[in-house]
Amino acid sequence: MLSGHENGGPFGAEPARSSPFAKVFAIQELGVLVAGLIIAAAFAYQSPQFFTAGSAGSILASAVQFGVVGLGVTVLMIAGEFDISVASVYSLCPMIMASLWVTHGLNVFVALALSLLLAIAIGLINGLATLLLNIPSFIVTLATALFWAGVSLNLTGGYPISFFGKSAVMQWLGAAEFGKSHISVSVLWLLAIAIVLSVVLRMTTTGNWIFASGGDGRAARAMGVPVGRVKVACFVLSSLLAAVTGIIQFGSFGSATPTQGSDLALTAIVVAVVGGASLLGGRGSIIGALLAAIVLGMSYTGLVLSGVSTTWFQSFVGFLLLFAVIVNLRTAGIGARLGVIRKS
Amino acid sequence: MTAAEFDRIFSLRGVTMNFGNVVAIQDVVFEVAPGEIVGLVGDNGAGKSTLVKIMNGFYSPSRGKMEFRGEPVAFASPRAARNAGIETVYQDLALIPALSIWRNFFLGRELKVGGWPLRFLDKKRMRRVTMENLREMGLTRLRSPDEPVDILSGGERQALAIARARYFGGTLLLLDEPTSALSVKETEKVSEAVQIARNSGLGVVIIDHNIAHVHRICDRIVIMESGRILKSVRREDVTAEHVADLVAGRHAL
Repeated sequence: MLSGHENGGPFGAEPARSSPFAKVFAIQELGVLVAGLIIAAAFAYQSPQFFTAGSAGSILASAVQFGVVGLGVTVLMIAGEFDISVASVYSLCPMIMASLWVTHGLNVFVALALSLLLAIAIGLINGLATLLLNIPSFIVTLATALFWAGVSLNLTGGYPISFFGKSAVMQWLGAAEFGKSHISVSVLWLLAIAIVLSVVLRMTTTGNWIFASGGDGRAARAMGVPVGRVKVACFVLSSLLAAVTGIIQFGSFGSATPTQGSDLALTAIVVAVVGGASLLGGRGSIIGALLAAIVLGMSYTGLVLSGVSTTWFQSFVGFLLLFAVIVNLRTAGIGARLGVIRKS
Repeated sequence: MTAAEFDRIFSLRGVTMNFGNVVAIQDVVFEVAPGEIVGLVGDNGAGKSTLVKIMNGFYSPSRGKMEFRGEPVAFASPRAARNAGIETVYQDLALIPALSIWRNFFLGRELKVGGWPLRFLDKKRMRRVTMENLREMGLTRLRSPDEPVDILSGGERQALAIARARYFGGTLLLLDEPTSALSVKETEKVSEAVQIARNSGLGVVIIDHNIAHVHRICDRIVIMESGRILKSVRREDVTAEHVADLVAGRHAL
């Protein structure tokens, strides 16, 4: 067990104070931090271009792609549920926006709003089906993932929709870069979303209820937490952020592809878990997920710069996933033995 | 609000509960006074849990009258009973292991500061109140309210649940087998927490199979058998052996 009940008796003596060094083990995001440092050092050694503004832009662009959707999935996993349909929403919603705007000439804001509304509706369907029909969310969202992927493909018969003009909206979504750097403004979206979610999770009643709903739904309900509503809201958030990620990609590259991001559902779960989320719910960290997205971005860019084919990226991610989880578990164990307390 | 306004927190008159053709409890007359600990004992199936679940709004009785704090009541749900001041400490305690102690203490009833949209948890106050209340319950070993509940022992979790019920203005505390699966030392701690709650004016009803324990801490012991109240005795009038005989069906008292 974690504490010294066995020897000190349940209400026995004060345990020893923890040293400043021991406090390192209280950092929830230690696994992803260590992984990040090792990966950065390895790639910097491999390739002199790794620490340049150019690769920073490329790292952050990937981090936005993995991060925005990963943050939504993290919140949902803290609430104890999964969303496999994020990959389909990620390709479908920008397709809808592009189709309405570029193909059918609708106002860009209306097209944007409608595509986000669709994402909200998909999230609602996922949440209500999971809770009302009492089917595991993994199954429900696997089914909706397949369905919406089909819709996405049939929208244009599999062809992408591209935008060739100049549009302030597209600039703001991700086409613009800061000054002469190669860093896309989309980084701002990632940061803003991370800050808001982090504050909501740690500092508000809503956040408390999300952790409680995932930690033990029955107990939370007994204490008056509206677990169903909390979970449905998290499904909507996850779907919405998947759409936002897709739309940022559309803004950044000017084209929406029905087949893009097919492996994004699993990558989003990797982001959440590497960042410290538990598959059982009730645990997870927005800062951890953000760092995990950056580490994935570094890995992708690092592989390119080292001359390794990006087809090895997935294998690398698999490796990273196991490594971070092992470190997370080990440090939590060491932290408990040293008696360090993490502020909650 | 004061105890003087009513001399019974809860009273049941002729309460019967049927589940289809099965009579779970029949013509039960039961009372709890402020500052009184009532032990509910009896064999399995005697109707103890049903009686408690009628008092906390989980079931509505098929027949009979109930008064809470001197007024007739019929609770629509456990939530309604809880809002009225009836706190139940369940066997599974309704605690969330991964959450910190203070987050559990205030779960569903969080203290907040600031106005919308910047309405945040008042963490400082919740940490302080949690520590104060747990110390009063005798949990002096705790170092920080930020520790997760899963490091607490079974007795400490019971004490936390009782402290929470007491802090949130319960007038009646219902405990369903609080000490099953606890060590002797842990059981002592739960008894202490129950007595502290009683001393602050709450009425307490405890279901417990451990008759020695019931006899030690309860002011009154109610023995149930086959859905009826067999006997209600004051603690000082009986020995634990007498109670055990009654529960076992040896009625020659």
